[in-house]
Parts: sequence; C-alpha cells; structure tokens
Amino acid sequence: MSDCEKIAPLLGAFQDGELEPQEMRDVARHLASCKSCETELSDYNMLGQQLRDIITIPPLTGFAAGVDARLRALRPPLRERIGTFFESLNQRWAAAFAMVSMAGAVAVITALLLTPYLRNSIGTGTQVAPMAKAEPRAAAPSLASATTDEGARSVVPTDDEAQQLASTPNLNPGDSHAVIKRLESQIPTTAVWSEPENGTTVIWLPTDK
Amino acid sequence: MAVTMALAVAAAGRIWAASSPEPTQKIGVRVDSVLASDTHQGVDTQLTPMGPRLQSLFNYTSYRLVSHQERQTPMGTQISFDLPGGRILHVEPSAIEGDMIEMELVLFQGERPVMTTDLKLRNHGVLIVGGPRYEQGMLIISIGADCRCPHSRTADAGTPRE
Repeated sequence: MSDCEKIAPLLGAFQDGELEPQEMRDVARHLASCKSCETELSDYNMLGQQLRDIITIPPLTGFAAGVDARLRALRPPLRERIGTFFESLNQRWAAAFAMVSMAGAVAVITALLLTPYLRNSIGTGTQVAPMAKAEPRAAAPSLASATTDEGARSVVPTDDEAQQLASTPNLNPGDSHAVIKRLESQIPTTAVWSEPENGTTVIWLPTDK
Repeated sequence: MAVTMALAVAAAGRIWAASSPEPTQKIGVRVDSVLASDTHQGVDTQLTPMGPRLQSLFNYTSYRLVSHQERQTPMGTQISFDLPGGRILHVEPSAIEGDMIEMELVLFQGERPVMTTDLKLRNHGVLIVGGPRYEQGMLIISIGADCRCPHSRTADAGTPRE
C-alpha cells in the first residue's frame, strides 16, 4: 500500500481539521512531497467552497424575539403552574420566616443585654434559694444553739480559722426586704435569719463587749 | 427587620434608662440604735412604730432607743454613723435596681471592722443588725434606706416604716 493510498482517505478530515495531531502531521508531510494528493486536497477545498456558496442562509432578524414570544405563548399546564406558585410561595415564606425569627432573636438578645435581668445575673450572681422559714419568735439567747440547726433557721456560721465569712450567696430570704449578697464577719457565731411575717432580715453578731 | 431591631433597641434603651439611677440620686439612711435588755421596763415610747417588730423578733423585756440618726447621701458616697459603745457604721449605697437599694455596710468596733456585707435593701425596708453587748443588754441596730426610686412600690402596705 503506497503512501498516497493511506493518505487519500484522510484528506477530507484533514481539510476540516478533524484528524489526530499525529495524523495531521503525517498528512501535511506527505502533501509537501506529493503533488497529486495536494491537487486532490485542492479539489476538496473547491468542492467545499461551492457547497457553501449554494446554501441560502435564511434571514435571522427578529429570530430571538420571535422565539421568546413563542415561549411566552406556550403556557404550562395548570397543575404545573400551581406547583410552581406554591414552590415560590414556600420559598418566600421561608425567607420571611427566617428574617422574622432572626429579628426576634436579635430583639430578645438586645433586650436581655440592656435590661437589668442580665445585669442581675452577671453582676450579682445567680438567684438563690429562699431561706427557710424562721421561728416566729426567735429568742436572742438561743441563737448560739441555732447555729447548728440549719434546717429550722438559715444560719451562717463563720470560718473560725479565717475569722471571716466567705461569700454567702444563700443568704437571700425570698420574702425579706433585704437580699444579702456577701457577708464577712469577725464573729465566729454570726447568724442570719429572716422573718417573713414582717419582712425583716436579722444579722446577729453576738459579741462579748 | 431593620424596623424591628430599631424598635427593640429603643425599648431596651427605655428600660435601661428607667432602671439606671440618676447621677444625683440621694439615698436617705436611717439608723436607730436600741438597747434590748431584760430589765422589765417595757418598750420605749419613742419606739412606738418599731417596738412591736422588735418584740416579735426578740424576747427581751425592755427596749430603749439610744440614738436615732437620719441622713442623706448621694449614690456611691459613703456615710458614717457613730453608734453606742464606740462602734461606727459605714453605709455606701451603690445602685438602685427596681425598688431595691444596693449598698455596702461595714460595722467597726473602734478601728476594727467586725462585719462587712453587701446587700440589697428594699426601698423603705429595714435590716436589723443585733448582738453586740452594750451596757446591761444587747445593742440592736435598725438600718433603713429610702429613695425616690423610679419603680419603688411606696404604696406597699406590707412595708412598715420605722
């Protein structure tokens, strides 16, 4: 099989640039040295030019606008339109709900940050449990023994070693007119109780002098 | 959303402004020193409003008013009261939250602090500090605070005044 017999079937594709790179190089090298194949390729070129000349290209003016008009005229089925409507509605409602939720959350957080509620929890610690109900008539001489009776009366003994009470957050009587946040005392037998009946809180500091 | 946020900030600002004390807010502090003893002398006539409360709290047979002091102090300013037996009471109101007055109390025995407490006292409320020995009985110190708080429940019928 001569080189021309191998190259001839590739000339049409070569003219259209459809060969693989290696085949394009082989055909081009053969055409440089083969006059008959070059002539045949010229014929292919002339044939292609003549075919393009006889083709009548229709006028495309207004083609895009016409397509758009046709598409608009094609109404989708009612079922599809209803589905599309609800789908868009869902998306709108979801977006609106998300925005309203976000606005509400921002409002709540802002209100919490700027109102006494958060300042209370940050500045004064957590809310403490109310004190146990004190005995209606607490006799002062019995306070010494009361320091060990935490169930009947909220009593805070002091730390003998440090001679000082640490922070005492449980001293907040719910019904009292006073909420004690911190109490430090040099008196070892310091006691605190509240009288809900008259809303009085008592700090008892029994001293010798 | 911007309108909602603006409304929220405005509302929070109003709440903040209402709950914050005015810079020149003054607090009235009342300190009554009462000698409680078992001398069977009854209740001092000067203690007419406070006597029943003391009798409900303690079982002494005599209550005598030793001193009554009532002064005003600006918020954040410490005020001192001389008490019987060489004791000194420092009171420093620091803030108002609702109808509660936040303050620090320090009770000195001479130069030695024997008690320090931070507390919130309801407007027109009373805290009793008792126990120190004095003469033949016990000293009972009634500490009250009054202010013109924006949210104060001055009509609170359950709040007795001394």
